[in-house]
Amino acid sequence: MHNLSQEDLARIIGVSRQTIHFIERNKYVPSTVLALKLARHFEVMVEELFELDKDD
Amino acid sequence: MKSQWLLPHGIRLPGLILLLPALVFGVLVLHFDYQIPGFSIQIESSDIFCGTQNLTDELAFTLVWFALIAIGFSKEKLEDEGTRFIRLEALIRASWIYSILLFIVVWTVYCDTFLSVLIYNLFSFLIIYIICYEWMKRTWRRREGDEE
Repeated sequence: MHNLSQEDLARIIGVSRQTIHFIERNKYVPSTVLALKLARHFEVMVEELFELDKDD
Repeated sequence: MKSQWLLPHGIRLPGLILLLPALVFGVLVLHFDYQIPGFSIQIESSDIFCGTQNLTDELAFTLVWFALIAIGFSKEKLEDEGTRFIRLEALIRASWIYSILLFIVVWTVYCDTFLSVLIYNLFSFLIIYIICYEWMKRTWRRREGDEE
Protein backbone atom coordinates (compact mmCIF):
# COMPACT_ATOMS: atom_id res chain seq x y z
CA MET A 1 0.00 0.00 0.00
CA HIS A 2 1.39 3.41 -1.03
CA ASN A 3 4.78 1.75 -1.67
CA LEU A 4 6.26 2.99 1.61
CA SER A 5 9.04 1.35 3.56
CA GLN A 6 8.52 0.68 7.29
CA GLU A 7 11.18 3.30 7.93
CA ASP A 8 9.34 5.95 5.91
CA LEU A 9 5.97 5.16 7.44
CA ALA A 10 7.46 5.19 10.96
CA ARG A 11 9.01 8.59 10.31
CA ILE A 12 5.78 10.03 8.92
CA ILE A 13 3.65 8.72 11.78
CA GLY A 14 6.25 9.53 14.46
CA VAL A 15 6.92 6.07 15.88
CA SER A 16 9.84 3.67 15.71
CA ARG A 17 10.29 1.23 12.84
CA GLN A 18 10.05 -1.59 15.38
CA THR A 19 6.54 -0.54 16.31
CA ILE A 20 5.40 -0.55 12.66
CA HIS A 21 7.11 -3.91 12.14
CA PHE A 22 5.33 -5.56 15.07
CA ILE A 23 1.96 -4.08 14.13
CA GLU A 24 2.38 -5.54 10.64
CA ARG A 25 3.34 -8.90 12.13
CA ASN A 26 0.24 -8.77 14.37
CA LYS A 27 2.41 -8.92 17.48
CA TYR A 28 1.46 -5.54 18.86
CA VAL A 29 -1.98 -3.95 18.97
CA PRO A 30 -1.64 -0.19 18.40
CA SER A 31 -3.42 2.41 20.48
CA THR A 32 -6.52 4.11 19.11
CA VAL A 33 -4.48 7.25 18.46
CA LEU A 34 -1.90 5.38 16.39
CA ALA A 35 -4.57 3.41 14.53
CA LEU A 36 -6.33 6.70 13.67
CA LYS A 37 -3.05 8.27 12.54
CA LEU A 38 -2.36 5.31 10.25
CA ALA A 39 -5.89 5.40 8.85
CA ARG A 40 -5.65 9.13 8.24
CA HIS A 41 -2.32 8.72 6.49
CA PHE A 42 -3.65 6.03 4.16
CA GLU A 43 -6.98 7.86 3.79
CA VAL A 44 -9.03 4.82 4.77
CA MET A 45 -11.31 3.86 7.64
CA VAL A 46 -9.64 2.25 10.66
CA GLU A 47 -11.67 -0.91 10.02
CA GLU A 48 -10.01 -1.26 6.65
CA LEU A 49 -6.60 -1.44 8.33
CA PHE A 50 -7.47 -3.40 11.46
CA GLU A 51 -10.03 -6.01 12.34
CA LEU A 52 -10.94 -7.96 15.43
CA ASP A 53 -9.49 -11.44 15.84
CA LYS A 54 -11.95 -14.20 16.45
CA ASP A 55 -10.62 -14.39 20.03
CA ASP A 56 -11.26 -10.68 20.72
CA MET B 1 0.05 10.64 23.69
CA LYS B 2 3.11 11.99 25.48
CA SER B 3 5.23 9.95 27.86
CA GLN B 4 5.03 11.22 31.37
CA TRP B 5 7.27 10.44 34.32
CA LEU B 6 10.31 9.83 32.13
CA LEU B 7 13.54 11.79 32.21
CA PRO B 8 15.14 13.36 29.12
CA HIS B 9 17.12 10.96 26.91
CA GLY B 10 20.32 12.92 27.52
CA ILE B 11 20.48 11.87 31.15
CA ARG B 12 20.99 8.20 30.26
CA LEU B 13 24.68 8.52 29.35
CA PRO B 14 25.69 10.22 32.64
CA GLY B 15 23.80 7.41 34.41
CA LEU B 16 25.70 4.73 32.51
CA ILE B 17 29.04 6.43 33.17
CA LEU B 18 28.27 6.88 36.85
CA LEU B 19 26.92 3.38 37.53
CA LEU B 20 30.15 1.40 37.86
CA PRO B 21 32.06 3.92 40.05
CA ALA B 22 28.94 4.38 42.17
CA LEU B 23 28.60 0.61 42.68
CA VAL B 24 32.28 0.30 43.61
CA PHE B 25 31.89 3.21 46.04
CA GLY B 26 28.77 1.56 47.50
CA VAL B 27 30.58 -1.75 48.04
CA LEU B 28 33.48 0.09 49.74
CA VAL B 29 31.02 1.79 52.09
CA LEU B 30 28.93 -1.30 52.77
CA HIS B 31 31.61 -3.97 53.15
CA PHE B 32 34.75 -2.03 54.10
CA ASP B 33 33.10 0.69 56.24
CA TYR B 34 34.72 3.41 54.18
CA GLN B 35 33.80 6.90 55.36
CA ILE B 36 34.85 10.21 53.87
CA PRO B 37 36.69 11.98 56.71
CA GLY B 38 34.84 15.06 57.94
CA PHE B 39 31.84 14.44 55.68
CA SER B 40 29.44 14.52 58.59
CA ILE B 41 26.85 16.63 60.31
CA GLN B 42 26.12 17.14 63.98
CA ILE B 43 22.50 16.53 64.89
CA GLU B 44 20.89 16.31 68.27
CA SER B 45 20.40 12.63 69.16
CA SER B 46 16.89 11.29 68.70
CA ASP B 47 15.14 8.12 67.57
CA ILE B 48 16.38 8.56 63.99
CA PHE B 49 19.62 10.49 64.47
CA CYS B 50 22.59 9.49 66.59
CA GLY B 51 24.60 12.65 67.21
CA THR B 52 27.37 12.95 64.66
CA GLN B 53 26.17 11.49 61.41
CA ASN B 54 28.66 10.67 58.66
CA LEU B 55 26.95 11.08 55.29
CA THR B 56 29.19 8.82 53.17
CA ASP B 57 26.60 6.05 52.98
CA GLU B 58 23.90 8.56 52.04
CA LEU B 59 26.17 9.82 49.26
CA ALA B 60 26.82 6.27 48.03
CA PHE B 61 23.09 5.53 48.04
CA THR B 62 22.34 8.74 46.12
CA LEU B 63 24.95 8.03 43.43
CA VAL B 64 23.76 4.46 42.82
CA TRP B 65 20.11 5.56 42.98
CA PHE B 66 20.68 8.39 40.48
CA ALA B 67 22.59 6.11 38.07
CA LEU B 68 19.86 3.45 38.13
CA ILE B 69 17.01 5.96 37.80
CA ALA B 70 18.80 7.69 34.90
CA ILE B 71 19.30 4.37 33.09
CA GLY B 72 15.89 2.90 33.81
CA PHE B 73 13.66 5.90 33.42
CA SER B 74 15.18 8.08 30.74
CA LYS B 75 13.43 8.28 27.39
CA GLU B 76 14.67 6.39 24.36
CA LYS B 77 15.80 8.48 21.39
CA LEU B 78 12.37 7.79 19.96
CA GLU B 79 10.02 7.03 22.82
CA ASP B 80 6.79 5.75 21.29
CA GLU B 81 3.95 3.51 22.33
CA GLY B 82 5.90 0.40 21.34
CA THR B 83 8.55 1.39 23.86
CA ARG B 84 5.88 2.08 26.48
CA PHE B 85 4.46 -1.38 25.84
CA ILE B 86 7.89 -2.91 26.50
CA ARG B 87 8.29 -0.78 29.65
CA LEU B 88 4.94 -1.97 30.98
CA GLU B 89 5.75 -5.62 30.30
CA ALA B 90 9.18 -5.19 31.91
CA LEU B 91 7.61 -3.55 34.99
CA ILE B 92 5.14 -6.43 35.41
CA ARG B 93 7.89 -9.05 34.99
CA ALA B 94 10.19 -7.17 37.36
CA SER B 95 7.43 -6.95 39.97
CA TRP B 96 6.89 -10.71 39.80
CA ILE B 97 10.59 -11.57 39.95
CA TYR B 98 11.17 -9.09 42.79
CA SER B 99 8.21 -10.41 44.80
CA ILE B 100 9.25 -14.04 44.39
CA LEU B 101 12.89 -13.28 45.31
CA LEU B 102 11.73 -11.30 48.36
CA PHE B 103 9.54 -14.20 49.45
CA ILE B 104 12.44 -16.64 49.10
CA VAL B 105 14.82 -14.32 50.99
CA VAL B 106 12.39 -13.83 53.90
CA TRP B 107 12.15 -17.60 54.38
CA THR B 108 15.78 -18.51 53.80
CA VAL B 109 17.99 -15.69 55.11
CA TYR B 110 18.27 -14.81 58.78
CA CYS B 111 20.16 -12.65 61.30
CA ASP B 112 22.76 -10.11 60.11
CA THR B 113 22.79 -11.50 56.59
CA PHE B 114 19.13 -10.57 56.30
CA LEU B 115 20.00 -6.94 57.08
CA SER B 116 22.68 -6.97 54.36
CA VAL B 117 20.13 -8.39 51.95
CA LEU B 118 17.70 -5.62 52.89
CA ILE B 119 20.33 -3.03 51.98
CA TYR B 120 20.82 -4.64 48.56
CA ASN B 121 17.07 -4.81 48.35
CA LEU B 122 16.98 -1.00 48.18
CA PHE B 123 18.13 -1.29 44.58
CA SER B 124 17.04 -4.76 43.56
CA PHE B 125 13.72 -3.71 42.00
CA LEU B 126 15.35 -1.04 39.85
CA ILE B 127 18.10 -3.45 38.77
CA ILE B 128 15.63 -6.22 37.92
CA TYR B 129 13.47 -3.74 35.98
CA ILE B 130 16.45 -2.47 33.97
CA ILE B 131 17.55 -6.03 33.15
CA CYS B 132 14.00 -7.02 32.09
CA TYR B 133 13.56 -3.87 30.00
CA GLU B 134 16.91 -4.09 28.21
CA TRP B 135 16.48 -7.83 27.64
CA MET B 136 12.98 -7.37 26.17
CA LYS B 137 14.15 -4.47 24.01
CA ARG B 138 16.94 -6.57 22.57
CA THR B 139 14.61 -9.55 22.10
CA TRP B 140 12.22 -7.35 20.09
CA ARG B 141 15.07 -6.10 17.94
CA ARG B 142 16.44 -9.62 17.42
CA ARG B 143 13.01 -10.96 16.46
CA GLU B 144 12.58 -8.05 14.09
CA GLY B 145 15.93 -8.90 12.47
CA ASP B 146 15.11 -12.64 12.30
CA GLU B 147 11.79 -12.02 10.57
CA GLU B 148 13.25 -9.79 7.88
